[in-house]
Amino acid sequence: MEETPGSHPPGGDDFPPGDDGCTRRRALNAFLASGVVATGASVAYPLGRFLLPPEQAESAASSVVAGDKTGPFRPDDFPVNTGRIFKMGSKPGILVRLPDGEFRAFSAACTHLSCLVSYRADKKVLWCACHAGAYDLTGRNIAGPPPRPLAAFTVNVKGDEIIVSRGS
Amino acid sequence: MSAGTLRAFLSRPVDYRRSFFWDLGRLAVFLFGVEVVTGILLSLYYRPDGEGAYASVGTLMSHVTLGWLVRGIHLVTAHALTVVVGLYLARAFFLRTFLRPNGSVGWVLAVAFSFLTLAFLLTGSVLPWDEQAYWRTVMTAELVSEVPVVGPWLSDLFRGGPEVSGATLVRLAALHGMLFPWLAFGLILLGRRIRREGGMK
Repeated sequence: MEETPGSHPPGGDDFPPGDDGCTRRRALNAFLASGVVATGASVAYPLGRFLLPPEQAESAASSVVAGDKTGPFRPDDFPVNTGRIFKMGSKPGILVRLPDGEFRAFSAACTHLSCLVSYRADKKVLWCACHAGAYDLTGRNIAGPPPRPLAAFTVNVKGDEIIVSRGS
Repeated sequence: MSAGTLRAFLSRPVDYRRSFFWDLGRLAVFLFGVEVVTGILLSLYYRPDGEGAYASVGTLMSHVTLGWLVRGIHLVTAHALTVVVGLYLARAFFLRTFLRPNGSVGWVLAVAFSFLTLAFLLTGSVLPWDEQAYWRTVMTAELVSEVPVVGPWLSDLFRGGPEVSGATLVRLAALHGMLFPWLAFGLILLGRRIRREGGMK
């Protein structure tokens, strides 16, 4: 903009600055800028809230009947020294029958990068094939990259159903 | 947009005596822009399949923050756009702008855009996939099948099968969200171009 003396509005830059060097123009500009920022924020914040997905209803069930697509597992049809994957709500679980016949259940998502673990009958460990992680049969991480033990579930056999529940 | 472009846009010379109806074209383009933005936002939550569509709209309306507002804006703006496009056509008709240089091309583009707007309305109203949407689609398919000679073939093409089903919904969602917006965008660009060349305001 051309700066001719006659075009200066009264009280513009000619107005003597205060002790801290703040002119009236700078103060007004700051007010204007804060208005622009406030307008931008009042659009950006609701937009951000819209983009944020709503809280999911907790789909991870606290207790399930262990089974897969072929139907519920039956204790009689479950060979010892094997493990099978089942759905614990929306997350995978693994049900293992120890050589002595006892059932144990863990989260089947490896604590390293959430690959599916499987039961290795030869080594008697829970094995993550992605990066050669291994857990013992209490879920403790014993080899490879996994940083934490697998979450253990409680197993109850009722009749010919195997019920797995979260927590103790 | 740089400050210079913004300044040039805001200080372009306009005739202050012009009537409200002079800016209907720009208004239509603005409303279309609103539809694009809100449509993209809606597409983040909408599931275009027979099983999930109805529930996803329900989630959007009752659980997503301000989801009802975005959908409301999309809906109201759609109807406003239809009205504005109708007014635009009426103005062009009564002021005989189609007699101007390039005016006939502009008229054809405007009519094409108005049909496109109606197609947007038709496909968009089906997306919630409730009872009304379903039966409206059945009706549209019947209407299409009345076209001479190719009717039954067209109807199958529209339905994506012998019956109205989830496949139909997927097709209409694809038309609404993928094909039509680009067509509309192309029409707007063409319209701008012939207006620049032909001296039409």
